[in-house]
Amino acid sequence: MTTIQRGPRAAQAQEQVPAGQRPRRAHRGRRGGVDPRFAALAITAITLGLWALTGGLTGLAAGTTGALLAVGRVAGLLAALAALGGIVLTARPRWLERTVGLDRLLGWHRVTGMVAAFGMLVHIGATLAASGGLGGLWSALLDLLGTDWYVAALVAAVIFALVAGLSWRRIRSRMSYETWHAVHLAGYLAIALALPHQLVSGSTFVGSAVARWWWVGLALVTAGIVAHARLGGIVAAVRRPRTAVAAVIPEAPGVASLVIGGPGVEALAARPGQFVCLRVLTGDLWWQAHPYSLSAVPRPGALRLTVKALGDASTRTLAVPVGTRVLLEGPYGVLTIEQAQGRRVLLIGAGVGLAPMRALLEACGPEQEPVVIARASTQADLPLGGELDLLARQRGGALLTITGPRSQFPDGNPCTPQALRRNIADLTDRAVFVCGPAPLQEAIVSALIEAGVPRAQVHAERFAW
Amino acid sequence: MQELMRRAAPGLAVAGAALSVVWLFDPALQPDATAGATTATGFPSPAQADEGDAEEPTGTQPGEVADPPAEGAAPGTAAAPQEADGSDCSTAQAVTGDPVMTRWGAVTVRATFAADGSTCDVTAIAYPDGDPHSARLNAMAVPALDAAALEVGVDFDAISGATYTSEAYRASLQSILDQR
Ligand SMILES: Cc1cc2nc3c(=O)[nH]c(=O)nc-3n(C[C@H](O)[C@H](O)[C@H](O)COP(=O)(O)OP(=O)(O)OC[C@H]3O[C@@H](n4cnc5c(N)ncnc54)[C@H](O)[C@@H]3O)c2cc1C
Repeated sequence: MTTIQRGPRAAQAQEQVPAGQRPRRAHRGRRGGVDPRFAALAITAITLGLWALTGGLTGLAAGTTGALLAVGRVAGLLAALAALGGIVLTARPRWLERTVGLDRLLGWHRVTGMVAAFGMLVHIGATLAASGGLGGLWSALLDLLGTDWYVAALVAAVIFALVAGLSWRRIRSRMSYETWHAVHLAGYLAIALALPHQLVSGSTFVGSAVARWWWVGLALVTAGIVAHARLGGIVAAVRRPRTAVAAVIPEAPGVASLVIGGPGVEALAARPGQFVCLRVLTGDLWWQAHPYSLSAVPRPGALRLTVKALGDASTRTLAVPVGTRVLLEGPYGVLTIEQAQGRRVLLIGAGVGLAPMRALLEACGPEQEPVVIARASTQADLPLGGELDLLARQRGGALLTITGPRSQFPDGNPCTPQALRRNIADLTDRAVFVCGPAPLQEAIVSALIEAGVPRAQVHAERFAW
Repeated sequence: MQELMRRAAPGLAVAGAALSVVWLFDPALQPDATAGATTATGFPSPAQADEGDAEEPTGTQPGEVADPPAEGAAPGTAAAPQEADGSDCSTAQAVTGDPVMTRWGAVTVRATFAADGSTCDVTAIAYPDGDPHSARLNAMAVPALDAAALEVGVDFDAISGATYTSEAYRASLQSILDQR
């Protein structure tokens, strides 16, 4: 690798504040409004308050059975709240995505999923134990199932366990995306099936009309947000003027750029660094939307996506005839150049992860002296290499290419903290954007932080969810 | 389209199986199946209630229960009734048992005893009836339990479908006996 020389400014920058001190939240785009975590906390607190007021607290002190029941209720309430929160997060409503960013949204979704799964286990365990103390676990279960809506609740629990189990990383990575996704969607059904038993016999809700309305309200608001976020994108895309494939340009083996043209592009107003969900209106593709990043700053009436043929849909997308109509949902994503806050910029992309880096690069000003680190297994596999080199040099920056088999790097990660520091003198002063396959991306982000880049200056976009 | 079906299949299978199980087995969706089953046995005596309640371990065999045990015959059946002579229930003394929690609420039993210690009456003065299911079930189970308890004391058989209420009832009644 070449060492890049930087002026005195860079040397100065290196003496700056020790790394990692800035709070993580501080720099995520411009936002107003409340931190969604406050809202989540407030909703949880109110729900727990209702639990406490409807016998939760006295239950805790009412002997083993009472305490077990009270704990079971709390666990059930928390699990249900986490499940509702979880589906709001994956519905990716725009306002939420804009405030927290896609990667954290999805990270939180994982957390809520785990809370829901564990909460549900505790809920069922404590409730059965409380009852089992009196009659035996098995008959306790049979009794419970004789209660209105408890079979539905048990079925919900089974679905939830299935969804949680299949999302466990080791199992998930062995399944096809579609199978996993289809089963995952059954989570909605589980939430719906669990609701009636809460309302019909949950002591919190049976005992208090206020609590009942609160709970029904939460469920309705959640349903509204999810429906709006999931369908709103499609509706908006359909209502926009026509967009169609204007050209397909090969970039590297298995990678090609799609130019999408039409008056609808302007209405979309996507910005470099953002992505759209592309729905290709052919007989076999219309029912699925796949996310792709802009790989260039949009031109009047045209935008460009760079697509790698990774599976069925992406392969067929690259084979559609020019003129095929498409729907663009979005734009989504908070990874725009504003995140750099005027700092100099380092862009790290691997494979087709270079697509959004290419768009961001074009959006950089000369004062940002953008450095691009491009990773591909061979020079021929590097998509958009020529453009990256040209644009970087035009802006006073440079392109660094890392090729060669993965095995030649420690843990497969070419971007070790040492290598990063050695090659980019003003590393810690730069805003860094990273995009690539999830494991590599995580490794690079850790390396950057270890090398002293404050977390708030690192911006990463995942290419899968 | 074929591919759409292939992709959707696992999800549809899960959803279909889930909905069928709920539809077939959830009491809320059975046309009054629970109530029907309850009235079918009718709980006229604990012996009858015991039928179809194989999973419920109780200390008493149906045969034993059929004929009321003699006074003081079995340990733990201090509440076994006496025939009227010598015991005046008009001056009976009431004892209230501990409230015993169930999943749906507490059961509290009160018994009244005549001067000679014989049991005049056993009733649940509180039992879960806050939700429709409990209300429906206990409206039938509780009178049956009252009758059974008066007859055999704590050794009554749990009522199938109301095991919770039965066991809590038993525990509350036991607390009365322990007080005496
Ligand atoms: C924010 C974001 C930006 C992306 N930008 C680009 C880009 O600029 N260029 C590019 O080539 N690829 C990009 N991808 C990846 C691209 O979406 C997937 O490669 C594509 O969806 C694969 O679909 P498939 O049916 O061909 O492959 P499959 O074999 O079905 O899937 C391959 C992998 O892609 C992911 N994937 C599939 N479908 C979806 C979906 N609907 N939503 C999310 N992930 C999915 C899964 O992790 C799966 O394991 C991006 C992904 C995300 C999340």
